[in-house]
Amino acid sequence: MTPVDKDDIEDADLARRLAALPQPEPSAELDASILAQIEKDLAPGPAAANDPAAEVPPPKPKHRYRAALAFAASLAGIAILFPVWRSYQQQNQLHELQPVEVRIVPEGAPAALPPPMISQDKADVPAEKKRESAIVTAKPSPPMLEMPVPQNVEAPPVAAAPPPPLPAPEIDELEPARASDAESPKDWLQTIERMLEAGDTEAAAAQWKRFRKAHPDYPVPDTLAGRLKTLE
Amino acid sequence: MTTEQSDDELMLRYRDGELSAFQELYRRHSRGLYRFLAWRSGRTEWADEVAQETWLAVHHARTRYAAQGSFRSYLFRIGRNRLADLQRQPDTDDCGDISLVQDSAEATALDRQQNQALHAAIRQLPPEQKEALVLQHFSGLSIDEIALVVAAPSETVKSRLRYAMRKLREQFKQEETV
Repeated sequence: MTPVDKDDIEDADLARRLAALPQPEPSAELDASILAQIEKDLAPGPAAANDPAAEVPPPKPKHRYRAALAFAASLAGIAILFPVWRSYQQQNQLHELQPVEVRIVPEGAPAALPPPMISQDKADVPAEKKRESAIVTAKPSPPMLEMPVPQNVEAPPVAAAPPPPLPAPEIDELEPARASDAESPKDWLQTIERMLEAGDTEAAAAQWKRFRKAHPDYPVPDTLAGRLKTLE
Repeated sequence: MTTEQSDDELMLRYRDGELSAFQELYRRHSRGLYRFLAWRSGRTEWADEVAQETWLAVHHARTRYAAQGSFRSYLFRIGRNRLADLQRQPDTDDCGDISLVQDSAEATALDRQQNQALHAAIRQLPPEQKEALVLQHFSGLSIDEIALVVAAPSETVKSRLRYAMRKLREQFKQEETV
């Protein structure tokens, strides 16, 4: 018999004795307590007679209110677009009613000089001269300020006030961190360590609580865990 | 013929809210976990507390469970971490009462004496060796599962087990000689 064989036999004997060793067992109360907690958490409670009826969510406005919503949307569109269209209409009408100013250029005038600009009704020129003149161009009429223009067209655009800042979302201490879930447990631990080094113990303790909830099976270095335990 | 469901399948069913799946998982692993916690902590009240915390942690983290074929390692890792957290507290001491586990009424005086000696020998092992021994012989984990639980290579676990068995053998030889 080789020493290895002898060791194997002795190991087998030892293993048999180990298997026969009385072992600590969970008590029936512990089993019942754990199972009851899980059962309570999993199963919805039985409905009592005086319980309020379960709230039925309101039906989504898919089919029933489709026509009404379309009509309301149309009205809103008209209410927004009609004043704009109306103001443009008024502007166009005013343009059409304004007298056209005619610039008459005498024949002998040098081309380089700007021709005198005179209105047709104010020009003190004989009819023959007028005929010999050429109509050069038409000028748009009097300035827009004299015209009655709707207020909403003339008014300068007002800068929209910035929306009020959204309230910060409340963080439930007992819930695992949602933002931190994205980072790896190692990075998360490093973040906690940095918080400790910076003296931010409260935040570190809160993060540690969330970390343990999110990663219950992740091994934590003894040094860091010891520092966190002192916080508790 | 019914095929027994794997732990991962049960865990997925439990994640979806099936209580019977949890009950089956608990039936399979509660004893092994409790033995590990009791041997490692040396105190039954700690084992009770940590066992409860461990199962509740599994419950709360069930939606994030990634089925990778080793629920048992996952469960024991949680228990090990929880126990480590508890043992790090400054007001804890290490004197345990695990040796108070009673022998059965049928045990002879010799059996009782041998069991007490075995208890004492196991308690004298270095913590890593004792942990590996308990996980293998009392909780029924494989070498690979133990490696996952203690975060060490499989060869290291084998080595720890070899040393543990050798020390226990030597201890018995000395006792027999005496």
